[in-house]
Formats: sequence, C-alpha cells, structure tokens
Amino acid sequence: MDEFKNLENEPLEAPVPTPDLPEEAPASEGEPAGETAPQTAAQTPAEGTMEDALVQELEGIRDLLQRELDHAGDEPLIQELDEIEPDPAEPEEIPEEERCVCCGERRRDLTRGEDYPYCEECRAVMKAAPLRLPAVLAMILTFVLAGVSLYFCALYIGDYNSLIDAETHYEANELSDAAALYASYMSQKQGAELAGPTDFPDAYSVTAVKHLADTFVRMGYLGDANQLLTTYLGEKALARPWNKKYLAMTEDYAVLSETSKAINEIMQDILYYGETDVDYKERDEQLQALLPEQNEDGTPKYNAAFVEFYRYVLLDLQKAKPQAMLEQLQRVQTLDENRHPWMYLSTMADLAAKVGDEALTKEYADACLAINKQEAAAYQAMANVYRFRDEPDADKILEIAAEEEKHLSSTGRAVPTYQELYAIGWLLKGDVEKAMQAMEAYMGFITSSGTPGYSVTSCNLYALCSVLSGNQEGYDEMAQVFATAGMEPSKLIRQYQKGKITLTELLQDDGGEF
Amino acid sequence: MTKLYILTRFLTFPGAFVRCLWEQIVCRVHGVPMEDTRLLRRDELCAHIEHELFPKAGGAFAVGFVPALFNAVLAFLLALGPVLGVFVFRMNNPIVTALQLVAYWFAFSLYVNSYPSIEDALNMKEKIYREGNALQKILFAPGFVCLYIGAYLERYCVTFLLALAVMIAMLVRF
Repeated sequence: MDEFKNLENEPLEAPVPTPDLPEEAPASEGEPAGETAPQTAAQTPAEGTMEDALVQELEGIRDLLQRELDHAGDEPLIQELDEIEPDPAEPEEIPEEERCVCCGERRRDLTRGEDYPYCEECRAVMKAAPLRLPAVLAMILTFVLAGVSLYFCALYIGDYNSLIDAETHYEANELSDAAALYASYMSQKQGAELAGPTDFPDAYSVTAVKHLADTFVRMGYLGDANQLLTTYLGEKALARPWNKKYLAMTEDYAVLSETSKAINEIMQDILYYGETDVDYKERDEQLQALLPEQNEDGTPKYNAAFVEFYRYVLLDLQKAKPQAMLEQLQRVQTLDENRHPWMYLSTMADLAAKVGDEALTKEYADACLAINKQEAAAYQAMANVYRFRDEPDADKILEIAAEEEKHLSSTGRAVPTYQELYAIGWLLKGDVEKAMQAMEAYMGFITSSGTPGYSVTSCNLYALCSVLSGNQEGYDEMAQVFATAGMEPSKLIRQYQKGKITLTELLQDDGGEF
Repeated sequence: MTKLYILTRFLTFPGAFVRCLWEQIVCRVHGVPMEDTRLLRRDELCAHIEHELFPKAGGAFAVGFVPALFNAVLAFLLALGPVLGVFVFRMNNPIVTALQLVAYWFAFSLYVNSYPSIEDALNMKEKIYREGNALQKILFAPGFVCLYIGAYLERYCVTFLLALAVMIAMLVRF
C-alpha cells in the first residue's frame, strides 16, 4: 500500500520500469474492459515521435496506477504472510505449555518459579477470593449460639454452684453432705414452683433428683427416694431405658413397703410399744412364714433379706450372743446381694469388733465407708478393734477420730461423734483434761444446735470424764439427763471410783455403755 | 478412610465452614492465593481451603494455628452451657435443652474441625524446622507439636471419635 502512496505523491518525470505490470489493466467495475486513457491533441499517428510515445505511455501507466489506487480500499489485497510486519497492538501467540492454567490465555508468571501455573492477573484474583456466604453465616450462627450458651450458663450459675458443691460430696461418698445439699437445692426449686408460674427458662436439675434419690437409697431413706422419683421424674420418665436403675428403686421400695407392713403386723407391739413379755420364738416363726409367700406371677411377695433382718432384731432384743447375731446378719447379706448394705453393714462391723475379729471388722467397716465416708458407726467399729484388744492402741483410736473429723459433714448439723473417740483415746492415754475437752465440745454442740444427740455412750463418757476431772456438777447433770429417760449413769463408773476395776477394764466393757 | 473423613466433615459442617473462613482470612492477610475455596469437597481437602503453600514460617504457622485457636475457644464457649446444663445437671426445660444441644453440636463440630490439613502441617514443618531461624523453632514448638499431631488425628477421624467418646461418657456418667 505504501508503495502506491509513494507513486501517487511523486512527480512522474522519470521513466518507471514496469516489468510486471500488464499492458492493460484489468477492467474494474463500471468501466468497460479494453478502455484506454483519452488521447491528447499532440498524439497524432502522423507526427508520432519517440517523445510523444513516451509521454503517452507514462500517462497510461499513471492512469492505470490511479485506478488501482482508487479501488485499493474496496478489494482485499493479497499479500504474502512474510511481507506483513507484526503489529505491536495485536496479542502475542503464547505456546500452550506457557499458558496460565486458570485463565488459559495469559502467560504464566514464571518469575515465581519454573512451574508456577498462574498468570499475575489470576494470582491477584485468587488472593482476593471472596468469602463464602455459608461460611460467613456459619460464623455468625456460631457467635449467636455461643452467646446463647453463655446466657444459659449465667442464668443457672447459682444452681450450678450449689449443685457442684453437692456433686463433689456425692462423688467423694460423703453422703450426709450430699443429701443435705441436694435436698436444700430441691426445696429451693420446690419453693420457687410453689411461689407461682415459673419463667420460661426455669428448670430443676434431673441429675440432682437422681443423685439425691441414689443418696437416699444408700443411706436407707427409701421412702424419701421413692417420693422424689415419682414426683420429679414421673412414671413416663422412669419407663425410659436409661432410667432403669431408678425404676428398680421404686419397684424395690414397693416390695419393701409390702414387707414392712407384714412385719409390722407381727412385731408392732415390740417395735413401737416396747413390749418385752413376748414369745420371741413364736414371732420368729411368724416371720419365717412370710418367706415362701408369692405373688400371682410367681415372684416372692416379700423381701427375704428384710424379713431375715427382723429375725436378727429379735435376736438383738433377746440379747443373743454377738456371734449368733453376726451369723444372722451374714445370712441377710447373702440374701440381699448387697442391695441394701445400709441395713446391716455397720452393725456387722460393730458385731465383728465385739466378737474380736479384727480382720472382719476392718472388712465390714471399709465396705461401709466405701459407701458413705460419713458413716459414724463404721469409725466407731474401727476404733473398737483397737479398743477391745488386750493392749488397747490409743494412738490408733485417735487417728480414726481424726479421720472421721476430716470427713465430718460440713452442713453444721452433723453430730461430732468423733469427739467420743477422741475422749476414749485420750482416756486410754491417761490425758483426762483432753478427754474432758472433747466431751465438752460434743455436749456443747448438742446444747447449742438443739440436735437430738444425747446417747448412752456420750452421757456416760461425759459423766466419767467429769468424775475423773473432779467435776461433780458434770456428773450430776448427766445423772439428770439419764433420769429423764428412767435410767442412771453406768455402774462401772462407781466401781471404778471404788477401785474395783481399772479405767482400761471400764472402757473395754462390751455392755454398750461406753 | 477418606470416605469416613468426608462423611465426618459433612456431619460437622458448621465447624468445617467456620474453619474454612478462618483459613481464608489468614490467606488473605498473608496474600496467599486460594486455588479452591469450596467448603465441602469430596476429597482429602474436604473442609479445607486449597491454597498455595505459605512461603514464610509465620504464615505457615498462622494458617494452622489461627483456625485451631479460634475454633477451640469458640468450641469451649459453646460447650460450657450444654455440658453443665444438659450433660451434667440435665436441666429439665425442653426448649433450653434443645437450644443447648444445637450449641453442643456446633461446639463438637468446631472441635473436630480445628486442626490444619496434613499438607499445611508438612509445610509448617518445612518452613519452621528447615528454613526457620532458631527463635522460630523454639517459639513455635509447642503449637507446632499440637497442630502437627492434630492434623494426623483429624485426618484419620481420631478427633471425631474422641469427641464422640467424651459425649457418650458424659451421657453414661451423669
């Protein structure tokens, strides 16, 4: 194209070699073929000179070129590829292996590495990839639910606080404390319910209900446990598979309740009216007659262990030998299959101590403490092992007293029975002053708390300590307490005063007065 | 195992989504290109953002640590109410229980989706313990150990099974 432009602009003074040009240009549209340029006046055939001919030829060429130039924009020009110079504005052809794997158009950014797969533009887009909506929504929901979780946590924080305390004692087998704390929590909830309709999120802890019921059963308060379960869980919840244990508790209570009614019919006068002029053998036969009775479905109507336990009570009332009573309780234990250890275990430990079987006493006492670390009778039995030895071990007794004190209920309502053990321990060591202090602490608690904690043992111990320390008023005070119950202080104290027995002999008396 | 892994990711998708978001944020902060931001895929990178490897130790650690830390904190906050209110003390209000169970599911899913992918864990190891300086090696050591082990535990669904076992234990225990 440029060639033609140059030709158009330059003056046609010199002859132009046209070796490739045709003599006649091809006819273009609108112009007949074979038409030539118009002739001038100077070009006459007669006067034709070389100069004229040349001028004519040149003009013909000029016209031809002019026509070509005029039509150049209309018709495509066929050019060889190698004649076209590259246009810098047009995209460069990129080999397949060098293209970006993301867009497939641009060249990879090989400055980032030989195998780097992306171009700079795609890389920039990938760096700013938009956040996914579901992820953002999940994040928002997470924060909302975290707020809900914390809200409920704050709402029940008071409940949790008291329940954690109760739970700690429950886990540590300190049942007196656990029962007191759970019961306090439940009565608070009950009070709130009675006060009026509860707010939407108000609720009581099902765990507290279950653990309190379990605690009651382990301590022998079966009626309370049954009432709690039926009131707060109800039949529907109890029927669920995971509440099988608690359903069994209510069923067990039903059987024991029936058994208790039947036993009461036989022993009511003895148990509630203190009748002593009875034929124990006959009563025992009546109790045994309950054992074979069955329900319609063939299951035993009464709890055999419970019946056998009352046969032991009859033995106790007859003041049978400790060995015989222990054997009877062992029979109860076998029948019971360890379902109601509260019924016999601490008594067995006590009887084993009286029999003088140290190993057995420890075994029963340990089993008892494994259920309830606050079981005073177990500590008492353990101490008796060391007390009734030929050579009493006062230090061991003091250790046991300290152990009991460590696990004493923190409710402030528990009778400090460990003080009795301290008193016995110090008396055996000959330290009357400390023994008196222990018993004063015991009696002080009974007086200040109003707890019914007077026992034959505690009153006799206080009277003994008073006599030993020359406190006649203390002895007289105890004599008055005994008198209100139609009793009197142990005669062993007077015997000791008269020098008939030693202090050790007095404390080793197994009459149950000390 | 991959099928089980993918199944557990689908079951715990809220946590997977949140983890992906944390990963994406870390990638954006460090200017690392993300090749695939799909949240749930049917391969080993399910519940992870596919991104270029972090070139520096700090970034390599952050992409594992930040999602783990934030997911763990959120999981703790989410689980606090349900663990006490549902599993331990079982407050008997059904609406409260339902809400708290949803919160627990989120907590569960956040926990089982807290660790980095094995690819990220290996890159972390490479950047910290082959290319990192002494200070980085010491500073990142405790976090690295947790994340590195956690990445494998999560990949083989151990964290999922562990969380499930804890939940069952709580149900049985209380």
